[in-house]
Amino acid sequence: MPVAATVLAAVKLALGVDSLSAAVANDLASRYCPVDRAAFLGRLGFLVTVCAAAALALFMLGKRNVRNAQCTELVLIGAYSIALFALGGGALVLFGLTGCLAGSVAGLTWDWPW
Amino acid sequence: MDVIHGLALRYCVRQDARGLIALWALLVALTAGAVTLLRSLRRDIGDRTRRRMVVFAFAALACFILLTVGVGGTIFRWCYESAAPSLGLVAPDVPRGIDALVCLSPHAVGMMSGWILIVLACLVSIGLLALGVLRLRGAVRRALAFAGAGVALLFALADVGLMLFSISWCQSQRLF
Repeated sequence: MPVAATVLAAVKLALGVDSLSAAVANDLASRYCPVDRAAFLGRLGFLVTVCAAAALALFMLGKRNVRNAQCTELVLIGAYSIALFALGGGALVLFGLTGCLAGSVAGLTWDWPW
Repeated sequence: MDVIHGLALRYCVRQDARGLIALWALLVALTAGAVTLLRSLRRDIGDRTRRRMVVFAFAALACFILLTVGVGGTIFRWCYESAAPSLGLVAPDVPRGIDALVCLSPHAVGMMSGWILIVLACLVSIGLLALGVLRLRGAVRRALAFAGAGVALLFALADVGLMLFSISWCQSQRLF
């Protein structure tokens, strides 16, 4: 039973992360700035938190499993990769939205509400 | 950087966000694989065939890392150079072949996904090749692994052909 519950929770988390990342990508790729800034940042923050938790879990696992050096190395590389992906992806998203904080620029015809 | 180019940069980051994040994930995964192989090369690998296979896989991953950076940069540049003119802004420097760039730019995310498929197919091909050479025993099993590697490679080549066709389609003089 605990295994089934864990698998179910993992599937639910994966589905939730998938729909959240789709929502963030849709908002970001849209022509307009996100209507609800708090919702957008909340979703992005949740995604980054999931990545950070996964990286931290792998890091702890790697530090605890000291018997098999090769396995430890693989787990640590996985942890660093997830952390790097979260950092780069988050930076890209935030850079794409930097224009949303500025005021409108006279003479520009793009219909983004800057 | 002036205002128009700053806006173009952010516009392209947003327009191609899905593709750029997927490419970033691919780049991180390829780098992690290359680091893993490099560290295993530094350890003592007694078997010469195994060592050759690891060197081959490392070289392939290093090539894919460079190509991914190049492909991502090129596709992003198509959008960046055509962003201002295609949205009606008066840019001081209109790039050469602007029609082709405007034609290519909307397909940027599709092309990035296509590139990811090509790399994954090549990696599957290398994996099956390594499996056949190093692990599998018996002629039939090896033949199946090598046939699978060939099919994956053919899929990647077909995808490269489709990508080149769509690029040349946009650059065709008959379109404009």
